[in-house]
Amino acid sequence: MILSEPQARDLIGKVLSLASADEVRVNLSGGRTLNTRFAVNTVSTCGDRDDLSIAVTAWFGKRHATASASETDDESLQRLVATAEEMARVAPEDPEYVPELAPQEYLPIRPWFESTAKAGSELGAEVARSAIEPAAERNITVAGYLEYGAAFRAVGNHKGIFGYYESTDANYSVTARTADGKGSGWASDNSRDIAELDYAAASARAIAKAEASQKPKTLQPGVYPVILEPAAVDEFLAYALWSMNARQADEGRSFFAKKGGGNKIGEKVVGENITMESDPTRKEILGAPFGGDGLPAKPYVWIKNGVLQRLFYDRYWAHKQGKEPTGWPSNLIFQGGKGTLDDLIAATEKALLVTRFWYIRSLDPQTILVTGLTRDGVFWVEDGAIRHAVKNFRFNETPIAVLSKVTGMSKPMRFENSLLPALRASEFTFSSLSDAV
Amino acid sequence: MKELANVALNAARTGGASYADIRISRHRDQAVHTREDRVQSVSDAESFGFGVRVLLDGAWGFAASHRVEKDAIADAAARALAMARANKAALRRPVELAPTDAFMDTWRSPVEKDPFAVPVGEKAELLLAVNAAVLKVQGAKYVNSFMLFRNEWKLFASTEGSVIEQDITRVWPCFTVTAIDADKGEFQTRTAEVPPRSAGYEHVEGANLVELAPRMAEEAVRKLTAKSVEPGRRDLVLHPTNLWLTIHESVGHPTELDRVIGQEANYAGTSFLTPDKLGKLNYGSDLVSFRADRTIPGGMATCGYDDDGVKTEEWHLVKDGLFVDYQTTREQVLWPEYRDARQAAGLPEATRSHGAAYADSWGSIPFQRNVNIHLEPGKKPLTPDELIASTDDGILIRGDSSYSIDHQRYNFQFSGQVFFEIKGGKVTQMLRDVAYQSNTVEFWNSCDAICDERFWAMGATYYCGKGQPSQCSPCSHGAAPARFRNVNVLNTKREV
Repeated sequence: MILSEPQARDLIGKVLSLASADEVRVNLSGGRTLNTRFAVNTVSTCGDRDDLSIAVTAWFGKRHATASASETDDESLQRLVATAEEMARVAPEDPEYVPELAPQEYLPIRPWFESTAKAGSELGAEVARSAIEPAAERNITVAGYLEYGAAFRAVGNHKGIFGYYESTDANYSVTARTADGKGSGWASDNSRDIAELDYAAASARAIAKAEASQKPKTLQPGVYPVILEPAAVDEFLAYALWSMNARQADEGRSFFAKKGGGNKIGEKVVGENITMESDPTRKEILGAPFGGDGLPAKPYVWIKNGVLQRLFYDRYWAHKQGKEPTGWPSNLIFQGGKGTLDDLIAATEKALLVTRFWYIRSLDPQTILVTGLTRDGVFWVEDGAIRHAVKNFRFNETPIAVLSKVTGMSKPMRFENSLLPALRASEFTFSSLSDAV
Repeated sequence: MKELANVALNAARTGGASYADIRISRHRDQAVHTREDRVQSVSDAESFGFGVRVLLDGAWGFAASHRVEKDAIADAAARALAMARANKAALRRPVELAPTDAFMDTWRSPVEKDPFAVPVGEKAELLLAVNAAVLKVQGAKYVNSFMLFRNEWKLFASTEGSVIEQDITRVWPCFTVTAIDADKGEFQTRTAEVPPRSAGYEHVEGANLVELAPRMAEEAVRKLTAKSVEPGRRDLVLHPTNLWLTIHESVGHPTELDRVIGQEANYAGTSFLTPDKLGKLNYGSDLVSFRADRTIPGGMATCGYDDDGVKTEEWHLVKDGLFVDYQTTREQVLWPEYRDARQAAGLPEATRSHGAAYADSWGSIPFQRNVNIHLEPGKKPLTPDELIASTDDGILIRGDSSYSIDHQRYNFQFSGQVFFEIKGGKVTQMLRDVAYQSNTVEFWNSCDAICDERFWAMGATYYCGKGQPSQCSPCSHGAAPARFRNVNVLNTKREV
């Protein structure tokens, strides 16, 4: 259910009026999401979900608790507020209590597109057909997923803070497999504006990769130069980004902790050609104007020319350390080069081209060493062209080491809520072979 | 509620559906999180709603809403029918459902002490006592602890006449200790081996968290100075607290029939366990039998009926090493690949679902999920001490940690919480930086000893992920300590 701004303001006001706690915050979220799934060249499941959540956080002095529910009748709202307040009263005092924010200024961000909000439930079958029909003609089986919808979020508190925004989102991904199961390819596209999604192009890329990935040659595990496509970059960087919490670093339990105490802000942590930032106003990947506590979203530079500029600070840790609270960024912009992925391949002497990774898990948070596998297309590039498919690998590698050995980048491309280039690195450690296709 | 359910079922019938069901459900999640001397958060989240599923000319339609009211239910039924009607345009394999009996029943998971009746303050004080016990150990610098309580109440009604009410409670208390060597800039963590369980607050009280805390803290500190493992081939003695996750990934997911056929190809992946292997593949050594089970008390996937309305049961997936069956739902039983594979294997025709359907909320469509899957205990008396005494050069691994497996479930790599060197039949010292990597069939065929039922225990997860949109399902996996010969052991230490 999408509440309009006046409706959200009214509901927040109503909940606040029911509360007797010293401080109260109300978070609202809701929306309608549609999805369609297809596999083995036939539509499989689908969904049309309408949801609403009302969360109330109550403070008595330094004691606090949160209750949430999905019902909006008077009795349910009274019960919700009572639950939050009853729990807060008996919760132990929190020595890290931070007062609620006073009203804030938010950047004028509205990540909303009518095209997405108005897309009907028949769209899923159309998209499935657009993938299934060309696949079946080529003896390929496809499996894919389309999800799209509209949502809203609002925050308000007893000090008068109020934030509201509506958003839309659309995501499509597709996997193509040859009928004998010996080739597999994957592609995706996403946008807040569903009119920008090019399903047919994504399906065609997946089908082409499935066909090209057949008859892979076996290369022995070892250290190879690589080109990581944006999907692989996104998956590989995830643990590094999750490690950029300032408190964990200051407490000595992350890669970004400095030996002997403190953190590595100001130190060179990766190669000089690496710059990463976030900007919620960037039009290709519009972010949210505020976080759950009402903290305004802002543009930040995290790593510039390889030097760590900033870590993520919540309000308590920022206050304690005398820093600006950043909250958690809602997008990531990885500065890249000028050319396309094809240009990068054309300029490469030797490398393994990786479409995407799968099942990445942490092995050692101290070095951000992670393990995972390649999936849906690995290819050997030599003298500027793709030469043949390669069997899948498991890797044990850390993004810190790889980002210190980047030798080339494409221009950044939209991938989920990031702008990411394809990266070429001189060394990447593959540890074992996988029979999976 | 039954009147509301009939609104959906009547609308679906009128709209031409050959089958329809509705689940009206309330999900309650209470959580208390603490660290050191403070309560980080206390939360209690409720979500109430319904989902209507219709089958129209072989195509599914599904619509859900948080507004449990007649008009919203009628509207959702219409939206579900509209989606099913639209989906026919892309339908090449119409859905058929295997038969099930109609049930009018109520089922509740056993709960001795209602966890929601215990004040959150009492829960927080217990966790803070755990933290205090941890921090008394020199070198233990940080501790994070939590309790999660989840209740799932649901009413299932179908056009076939079933009306089933279920009330399931699950509980998980746990904590993680971090030890720091600031001079070296190193840290190590140790997570307690307390699994989630379908139970009441008695599971929290029985976990003896405060008594457990010093040992966990001491082991975190010991890990800082433990010997870094020499990589190479070793025998592994895996404790149930480690083995449960290996079972989940390398036996649970490969035996999901939807993955085998290709329905998960775009997300969780497919499976090496193709139908031609049914009744033919030696999945493990003769000692290895895996039983699937949704009836065991305490199992996280245990319930009276699955979300297809099928009465739950237990069955073998692997018997004396031989692969003999998959996990199935009503939709899967009639797939020709399954029917033909059973016929080729000389197995009797399957006419009923094993009851492996689950939806994680009212807003999610049910599909095939891992049930509880157990490694059966050894049939001959064998204690863990005897198992270690008969191991010359091995590593004992307790607790779960890093886990990763490829999208067809061949190549896996797992780590653990603590590792102990076994030399000449004795545990000699603690090791660190250990991971083991193997291939599923090779690994289970290297199993040469399993302790007996006295040492059998279940590990579990709340958070098995699968599907698009992704859904989380709970399940448990039991095992007794077991030995695996000549497994590839890696050293995970890396300089950057």
